[in-house]
Amino acid sequence: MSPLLQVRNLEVAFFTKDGVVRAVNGISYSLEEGDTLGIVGESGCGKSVSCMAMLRLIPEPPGRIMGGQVLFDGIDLVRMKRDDLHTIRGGKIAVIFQDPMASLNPVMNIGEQVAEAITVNLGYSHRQALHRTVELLTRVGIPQAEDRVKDYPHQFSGGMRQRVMIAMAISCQPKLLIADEPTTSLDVTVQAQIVDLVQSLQRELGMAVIWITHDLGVIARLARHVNVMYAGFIIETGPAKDIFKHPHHPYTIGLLGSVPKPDVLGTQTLVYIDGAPPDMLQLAEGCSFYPRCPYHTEQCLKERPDLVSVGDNHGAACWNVAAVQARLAAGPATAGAASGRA
Amino acid sequence: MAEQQVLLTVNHLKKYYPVKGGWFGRVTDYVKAVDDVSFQIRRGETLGLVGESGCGKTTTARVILQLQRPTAGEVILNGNDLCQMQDDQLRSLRTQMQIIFQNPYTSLNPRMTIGAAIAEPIIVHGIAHGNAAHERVAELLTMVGLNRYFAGRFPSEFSGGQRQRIGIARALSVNPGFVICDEPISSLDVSIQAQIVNLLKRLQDQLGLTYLFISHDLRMVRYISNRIAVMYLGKIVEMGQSLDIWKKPLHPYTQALWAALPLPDPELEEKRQRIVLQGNVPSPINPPQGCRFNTRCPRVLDICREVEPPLRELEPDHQVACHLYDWPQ
Amino acid sequence: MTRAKSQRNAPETRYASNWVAAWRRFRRSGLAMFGLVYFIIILFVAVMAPVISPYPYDRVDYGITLQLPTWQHLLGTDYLGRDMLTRLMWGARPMLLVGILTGAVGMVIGVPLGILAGYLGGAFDWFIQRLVDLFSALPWYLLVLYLVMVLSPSVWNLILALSVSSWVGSCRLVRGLTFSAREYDFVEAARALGIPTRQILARHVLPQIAPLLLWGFATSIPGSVFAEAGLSFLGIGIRPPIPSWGQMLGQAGQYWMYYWHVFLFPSLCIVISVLAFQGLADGLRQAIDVNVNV
Repeated sequence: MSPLLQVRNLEVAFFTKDGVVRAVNGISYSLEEGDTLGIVGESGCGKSVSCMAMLRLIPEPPGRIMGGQVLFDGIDLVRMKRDDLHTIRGGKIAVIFQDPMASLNPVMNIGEQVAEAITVNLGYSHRQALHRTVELLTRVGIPQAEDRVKDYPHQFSGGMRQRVMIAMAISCQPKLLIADEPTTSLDVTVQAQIVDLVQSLQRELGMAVIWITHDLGVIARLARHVNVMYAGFIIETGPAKDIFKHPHHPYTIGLLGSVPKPDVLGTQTLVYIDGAPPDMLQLAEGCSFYPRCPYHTEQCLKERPDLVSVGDNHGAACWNVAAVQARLAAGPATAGAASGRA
Repeated sequence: MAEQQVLLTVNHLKKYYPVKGGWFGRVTDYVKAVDDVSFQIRRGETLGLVGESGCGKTTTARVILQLQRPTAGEVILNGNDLCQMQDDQLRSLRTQMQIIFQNPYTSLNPRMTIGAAIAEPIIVHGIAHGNAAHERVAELLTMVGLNRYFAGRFPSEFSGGQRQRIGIARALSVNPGFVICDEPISSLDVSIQAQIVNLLKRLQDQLGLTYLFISHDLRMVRYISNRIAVMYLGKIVEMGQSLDIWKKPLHPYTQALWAALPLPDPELEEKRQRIVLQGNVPSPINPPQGCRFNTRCPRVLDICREVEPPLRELEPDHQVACHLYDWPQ
Repeated sequence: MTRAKSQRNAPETRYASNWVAAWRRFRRSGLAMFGLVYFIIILFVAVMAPVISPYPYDRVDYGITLQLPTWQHLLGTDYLGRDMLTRLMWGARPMLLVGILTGAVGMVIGVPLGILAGYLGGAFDWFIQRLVDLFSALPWYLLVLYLVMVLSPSVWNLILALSVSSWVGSCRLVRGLTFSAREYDFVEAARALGIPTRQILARHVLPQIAPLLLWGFATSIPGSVFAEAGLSFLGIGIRPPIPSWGQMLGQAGQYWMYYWHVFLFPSLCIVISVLAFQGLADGLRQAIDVNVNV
């Protein structure tokens, strides 16, 4: 059976007046039905743009899909007519965003908004849709849903609004849910509620989930497979357990080292990454992580590395995978060759 | 540790904001942002202050520094009660206490070169003048890991992480002993966060600084702090040694916070027991009667809805405000 | 680290480009460009009027009263046979003088009061607010009328009288801007660093709101131009024989049915000036838009 989603060499660029921003540079991955993929990276790494481009949700212009295929259920979304996209968006693929307030109409009550989505996407009558809305809101954990449908978005807390967005998203039983940093602006305890909710809905509806975040903890909690992105490239991909236990790309190693582990006794030193994320207007010719990499060699400067297999289903785009591993094994401090220069 | 000298004592600190309503804008209610908070910070240590948004941790910082005057209470720094001081007396004491802001994009004046911004307090407080002031600016820039020749540039030329370093240099320009770090890393990228936290740690060792480190990032607070205070709706619910708070959290809220915190380890995550709190933080305008956490507490007792539990020392250097520990078990 | 940083090349240009960007935004509006060009021309005309005007402004010639435009008198002559073009050129002087100085005096009074009220708040703010309320509630046209009558009409007294109410607008604007600037993190940082209030206002608050002040100033000009024209029309503004557009209109009163030129040209001057200054102000607003939202 072919996978639910196959992304092949997706390239996205933005043509701004300062120059061309190559936001996504030929990424490929696939996702099976019901599976969970985590995409992790820092701001501007292309994690969000790649998913929005897939649904053709980026503003064009300045944005443009430069090439590649996005096969969803065997249909190429990139070549699909704009008019036909609505059968996919809000139907088979649903999205939830970081800021639910931006997606909700402030002068329309919650019930009407969810019901509207249901009427449009599923062709329910208004009464059926309202009935279904209450069911859905109850399912996503909004107490006294039948009363709260009359409330307006500002009367809901951030967590509750995100629940409303989730209710809208699952209303037409999508096969794929794209969650674009949905918990970033929420408090820890509310974040845990939302993560739990999405996980239980995923089991119930059998949908696949792509979870975009910069929080490695959230990824560890819910993703089965992880793509690590940097400067528009997937620089490491693999099963979550492998990536967290045996990261191979120096960026992934640095990223994991940047997060303190609370269960470690006594003092620990964070092994972090030097420098700042790259200027996307002028990407280096070689490896884009080269300027921040403590392991870089001559080759990294000149040639861009492709993903090489470093394990079962596990790939890293680095010329020096073996050398990095050897130095890691020699002692944990080596990764922070730069740490003395804080 | 316990015998170390106390640098800052906060006693029964309160900050209420009037809520106006009705026809003539009469005060109808109060937002109790900080409600009877007491703690001490010892010289050279880091006290972490954690809590969710709206729990009053940022207000606590502002009130300690007297950027907003408290409604009641004492803030004693080096033996001076800041709350009793007039504005001009306070001004000279500002060399002893500083703050690092959350947002590096709004905390620097966009129309001032960073050199001018760092030199301003040095000159105002008469720490150095002329060339000596320039030299001091260069020294501070080097100390926070920036090039000394950046002094002539404007904030817009720097990245978020670099700006935060500039903010740190400016705070350190007056040689403060006590620095409040108000969510200094929460608007930065993950890889940059670690750079800044390590810088703060290094500066602490180098200059013997005392920190009040405010954050909602429990992992970072646990990493940088010697002691942690957990705030909920304007009150401290638990306070103690960082490791104790992590290993043996006593308050159900602290326990839930830790449980909600995702760890960067999928295997650990699979095994972990989850306590998922229900609902949201209630409004600080009319906080719940009794224990403020009673509406969300998984282990709530009858007494919790009526009587507010006091913060009591249950074990050496470990205080908790919870009725669960009223009787020895 | 040093490597990563040295890669950020030519950063100085970024700050300079703020001005370039502002200019680009300004230029985008046709009305703004028109306003700017008009302002430059009218300023030149006003300053150079004694040199470039074809006749003395007060040369009366009863032989050629109310002539329509001819080659000798391009815009015709008025009821005393004075050259219209000359008088319109001279009329630009009181227009600009009143338009600009009224705004300037208003700023001189309104800006310090507004900054202090906005920054200090409390009782001082309350007092200033009530003063602003009082002055905005007064029927200012009547007030100006009385004042000019008491002080005797002249350009300077006109400016003084108009300034009595013009400070209210700038005060209110500055107070609002300062009030929000007080919340900026870098202003709070300055307070935390023990910078004296005076220095905070001068170095942190004022530069931040200065571009908007420029805009506020530009928006006040059309009103003053109108006020000058109106008062001079009524005969209590600029005193003859010094010409002013409003005054010329007033004198055209009885003749305009038969001699269109005495009416049309001064009216055009007033309308175009008001429009041009409004365009200028609007362009300034667009130009500073981004700079203000730090």
